[in-house]
Amino acid sequence: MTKQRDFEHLLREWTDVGDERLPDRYLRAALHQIESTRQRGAWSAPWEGLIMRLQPAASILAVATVVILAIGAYLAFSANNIGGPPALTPEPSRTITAADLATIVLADTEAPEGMRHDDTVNGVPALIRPFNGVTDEDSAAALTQAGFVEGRYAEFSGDPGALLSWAALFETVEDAERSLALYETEIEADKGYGLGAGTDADIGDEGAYFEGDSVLNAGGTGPVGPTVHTRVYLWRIGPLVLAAGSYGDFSADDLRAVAEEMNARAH
Amino acid sequence: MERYLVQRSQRGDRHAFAELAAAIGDRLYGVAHRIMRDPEVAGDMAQQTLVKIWRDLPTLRDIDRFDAWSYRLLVNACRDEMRRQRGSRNHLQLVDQDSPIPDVSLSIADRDQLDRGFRHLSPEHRTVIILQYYLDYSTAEISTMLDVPVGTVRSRLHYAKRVLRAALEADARPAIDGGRSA
Repeated sequence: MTKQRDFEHLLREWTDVGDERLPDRYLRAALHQIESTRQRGAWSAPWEGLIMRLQPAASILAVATVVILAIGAYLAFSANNIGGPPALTPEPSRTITAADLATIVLADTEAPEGMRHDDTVNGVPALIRPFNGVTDEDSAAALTQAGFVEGRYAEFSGDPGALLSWAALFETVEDAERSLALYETEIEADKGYGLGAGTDADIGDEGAYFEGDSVLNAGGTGPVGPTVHTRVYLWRIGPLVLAAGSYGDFSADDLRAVAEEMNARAH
Repeated sequence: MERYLVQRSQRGDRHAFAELAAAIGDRLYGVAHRIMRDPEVAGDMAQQTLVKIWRDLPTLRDIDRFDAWSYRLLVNACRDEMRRQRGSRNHLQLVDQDSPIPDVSLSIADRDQLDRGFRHLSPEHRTVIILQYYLDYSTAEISTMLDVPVGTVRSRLHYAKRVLRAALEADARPAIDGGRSA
């Protein structure tokens, strides 16, 4: 008898035992547990895979940067010794060194209210961090920026959303200007954040404020993420490029306060 | 609405997650009950999975894949639990007889035989049966969800159905094989 039945239909019937309700005690227990369960870093997730893939390239670039700096220092020293003219590079209000980035970028102990520190990263990976949706072309442009000295970012997340405090130091103002233009393009373009032209941020030597909805990982090679409200301050002080960006409900005033604090520390 | 709740939950909104958990809890429980065949264990699996969903939600890049992703977390939890139980001797129960099981055209004897056959399946074989026949996922979708080749899904389905069919046929020929089916 059984052989004559539609076995597939029988299996569907067997699995269809009607609607079932999760007993309340399990739901309550789960919600109680999440009160003490920390989410994995929301901001960092899309970048982790990329940074892992970039590790070999990052190592090569780091070595190359050291060699270039050593040659530059040697040439500068030689030029000074034979009485050559001093460099005409405009000076920032103070000479910023790689070590200063740790005091300019928010520290892990400076998480805004309602947020927690997720990660702090130094070096070459910092160059790629402000990109949203990274293609091979993007990563090549970010990682081969002329005159890169050091980068650092710290990220935070929590109920108000996510926050990024970011800075990259270059050898010259010209290098930093090129870098600023690169990140501006990323923030404005549809294949990046798609926020369009920013407004004058009245911060640093030059800078802009951008705000709008962004599709995470838009234009990148990975899966497209959710749409989030995004705010970004991007500015330059001499050879230093800085950014303070947020996703979600982190307020415009709070983000402005973060940007001004970073700006003050860089002077 | 659910998409909005997922987005809010991804950003750490516990209130949104409470709504989301209430919305998906029954579905998770239904699948876990069918795989584990035990209402208490199914409740534990649904609870564990809700906590994992909260913890890992920020790593989900494509919200459209939320359902498949959450079921994957659930079936992984069920698989781990079944392996743990087998390590301490199998105490899986038949499907709870107090559960509301509408008897359509499937006889109680057939249902019992299928339950018995199902109990002999591995976690992987149970999972593909439930994903295909209860949730109506295609073999390609199951392949993506479980991260195994489509051919593997097909072979697991083939084997699982052979076992279940054999369980039914054993019930149909008690006089021939000496009543072994009981």
